[in-house]
Amino acid sequence: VRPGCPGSIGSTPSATPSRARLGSAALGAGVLAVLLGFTTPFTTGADILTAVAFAAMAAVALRTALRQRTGGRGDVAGNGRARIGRAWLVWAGLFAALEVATYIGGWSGGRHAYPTLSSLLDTATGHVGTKALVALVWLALGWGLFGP
Amino acid sequence: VSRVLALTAWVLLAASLVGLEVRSLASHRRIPGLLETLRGLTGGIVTRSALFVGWMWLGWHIFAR
Repeated sequence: VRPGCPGSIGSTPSATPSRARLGSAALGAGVLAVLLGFTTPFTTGADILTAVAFAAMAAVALRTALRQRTGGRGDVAGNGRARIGRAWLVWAGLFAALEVATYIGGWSGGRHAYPTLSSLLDTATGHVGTKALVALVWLALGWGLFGP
Repeated sequence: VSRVLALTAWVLLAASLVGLEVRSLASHRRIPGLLETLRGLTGGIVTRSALFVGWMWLGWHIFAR
């Protein structure tokens, strides 16, 4: 639920986290993102820090789900229907098509000639700073999807 | 040539993502954004759990494996 969204329900004051909670969550996410930026895949450190992120987000998702259960459903308009942007469905289709096309193209043409999103992210996460930024975006995405 | 084409397609896709999100913001969220659409599509516990697993897979894929 987005507070102030016309027609939305379930945005009880208790469902909105306090400024202090938001601040500590942002600080925690920032620290975790920086630590993730320093990790190397296939190491115990990377496994542990990724698992910490999973556990923290699972706790957030569980808390949000329990609050929504008592405070009303979120993400629906006043008529009880979910709000879905059709343009996003088209975008998702194009994204999937491009990912599949580059993946298949890489079989014969090589991954360099046909970069998938994964290979582009591999390049981006080659540096600590960009990797920390990607980690922060990933955590923010989780908060946006499963947070209050 | 194929790399340039592929990169151009990725850039266009990223730009359209930003454009759609800006359009949503400009409409004061009357037009749903990406996150709202994803949350709207995953209203049930099963679909919401699947989305969570997808989010976990993304992090695992990027940082752990």
